[in-house]
Amino acid sequence: MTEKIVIAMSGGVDSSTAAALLQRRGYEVVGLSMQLWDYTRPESSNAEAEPKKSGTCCSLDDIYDARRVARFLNLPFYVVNFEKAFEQEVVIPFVRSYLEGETPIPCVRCNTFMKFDHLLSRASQIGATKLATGHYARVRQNQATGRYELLQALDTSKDQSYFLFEMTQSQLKHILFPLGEYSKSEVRRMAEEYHLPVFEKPDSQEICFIPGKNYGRFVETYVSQGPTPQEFETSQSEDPGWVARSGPIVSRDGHVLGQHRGIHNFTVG
Amino acid sequence: MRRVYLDNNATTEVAPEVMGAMLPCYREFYGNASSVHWYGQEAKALMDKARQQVATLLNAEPNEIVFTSGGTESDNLAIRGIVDSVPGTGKHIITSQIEHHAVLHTGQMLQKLGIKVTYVPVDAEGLVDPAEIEKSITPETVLISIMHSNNEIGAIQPVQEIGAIARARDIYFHTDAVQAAGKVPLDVEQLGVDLLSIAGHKFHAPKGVGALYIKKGTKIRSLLYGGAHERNRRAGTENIPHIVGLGKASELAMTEMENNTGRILELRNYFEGETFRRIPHTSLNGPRTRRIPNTANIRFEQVESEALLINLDLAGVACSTGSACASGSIEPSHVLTALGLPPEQAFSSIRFSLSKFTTREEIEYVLNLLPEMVGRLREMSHQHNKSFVMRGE
Repeated sequence: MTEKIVIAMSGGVDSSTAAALLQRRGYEVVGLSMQLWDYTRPESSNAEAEPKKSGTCCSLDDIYDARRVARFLNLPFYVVNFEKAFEQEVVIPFVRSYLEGETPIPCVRCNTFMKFDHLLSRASQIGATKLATGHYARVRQNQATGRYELLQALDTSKDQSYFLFEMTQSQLKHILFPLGEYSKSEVRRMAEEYHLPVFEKPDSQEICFIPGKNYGRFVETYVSQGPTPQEFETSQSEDPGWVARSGPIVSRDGHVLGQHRGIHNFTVG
Repeated sequence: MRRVYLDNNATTEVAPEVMGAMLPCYREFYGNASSVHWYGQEAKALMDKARQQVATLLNAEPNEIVFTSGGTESDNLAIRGIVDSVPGTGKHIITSQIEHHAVLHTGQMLQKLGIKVTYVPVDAEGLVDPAEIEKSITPETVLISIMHSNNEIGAIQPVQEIGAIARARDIYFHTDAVQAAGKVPLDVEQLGVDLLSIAGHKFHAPKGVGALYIKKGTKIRSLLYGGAHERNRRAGTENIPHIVGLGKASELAMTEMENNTGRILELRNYFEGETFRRIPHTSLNGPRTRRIPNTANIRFEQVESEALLINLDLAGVACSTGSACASGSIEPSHVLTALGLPPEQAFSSIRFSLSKFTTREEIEYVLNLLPEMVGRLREMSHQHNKSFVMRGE
């Protein structure tokens, strides 16, 4: 029996090409997309600009694209719903982090919890031996120690291994990064060669659940509409609304220098 | 690959007799039913016949049947049409927590317009208590809308009792009978309803056609403006082929119901009984007896239904869980939640729904797959929980 691999499909060029590559290597490939966030939520709407609907990780248009590619490659394809887990394990920690004045990278937690925990578990549940993603990184087993090592992609300009630093041995063992050996331009060329319907799609950069990049506004709206207060206890205060509030900027000797719009608008880095 | 279709509450295969009745409407009788000439008259005659067939299925008069695009439109027309036509302010309607989204979301929209809406709860089996309806009635109540049979668990609601309450208080009563039509007898007189929705594709007619029964003398405002079609109650050129299909499917249901019901019920009960016997820690969601004959909503403890659903599909078996959201993923079921199931139990439930085309052999095929599949998923969820605990330490 051929080995079954699940490919995490975002609807972008990278994961689509990875799916095509795996199929050409003779694996039985099943495509999964994750439904992580409801983009009609008020937090994600953008007053200044039309809400960006694609080029993110998991919007409706992207799932549409993923489905289109899967159909084109004749792969079984499913959308799995991790909305609740995403909110608990990625969004709330992200907001909490902001309220504590930190600069979180939600993509790291999303990889750790969504892709390499929930999605990996779905993959094994449907009989796959491995989960593949379109990340630019490499995994190899060290022959001397037997341990799995996470390596940079050969194309260091596109390397994403940094976002994967939290991965454990048991996760690395079950992961494939089919693009780790290729450069981005090679991947685009392959996508075109294979006639993948998304070969011209631009890369995504921003945090997927905040189209328009207005993180401060997201945090404010989320806190004001968001879940129960205990989910938001920060080290600063039991009332997150207090933290997200505006107030005076005061110098050490007591002079009011101006007004600020809440600690979440001032992050390090 | 072998394929077995057990998702007939989502939609059904079009019956060959229905196809046969529809085809001439595309090739010979393609006239516009409003036209004066022969073509128009032929189309009108076909439509009138279909109207009679649907009326017979519901024990209604033909002029009480309005053809629509399906269950959603019928529900919308019934609820919005009545609320809009009744004069006054501060209007109130009563519905239940386990209605189809076509009713629930219409209710939410009306709330935004200032209409008060009461969503009555259900008991652990998914049944509405008529006393609860009676309690919720206020002088402002203009409409009660309670479904006949629930799509997820098949629970048959006490429609007749609610109908009597509505009649005594002179309140309009609508029932969404989309999952009941063609499966159990429907008699609008006996049920005491003023409005009743059906959808063709749930009983072997094509998608995109349905009907709303509107009791004679009921004032209703149209949703669509245009021509005088359907006695000014639904503008738009009538979809003759589909309407003819709906008529034929209604006629078939009338003649075959007794036979089909017995056979489907026996298969369903066999499937259910064998599942419980062969797989430990499985149970039924919803009522055991007060239920449409084709539906089994089964809970597999410690199994994630999404994973089971995908496994079954990869093995060629189609069934469902919850309702699909825009992306095609599964949303938590508001019906199972209303029954009082905690999320982990709601997320371990699968709906199997049979039709007259389901065979014993297909049921055996599924029964042979399920125990191994469920066992493997349980083993994995056990392992995953263990490794999760270890990682957390």
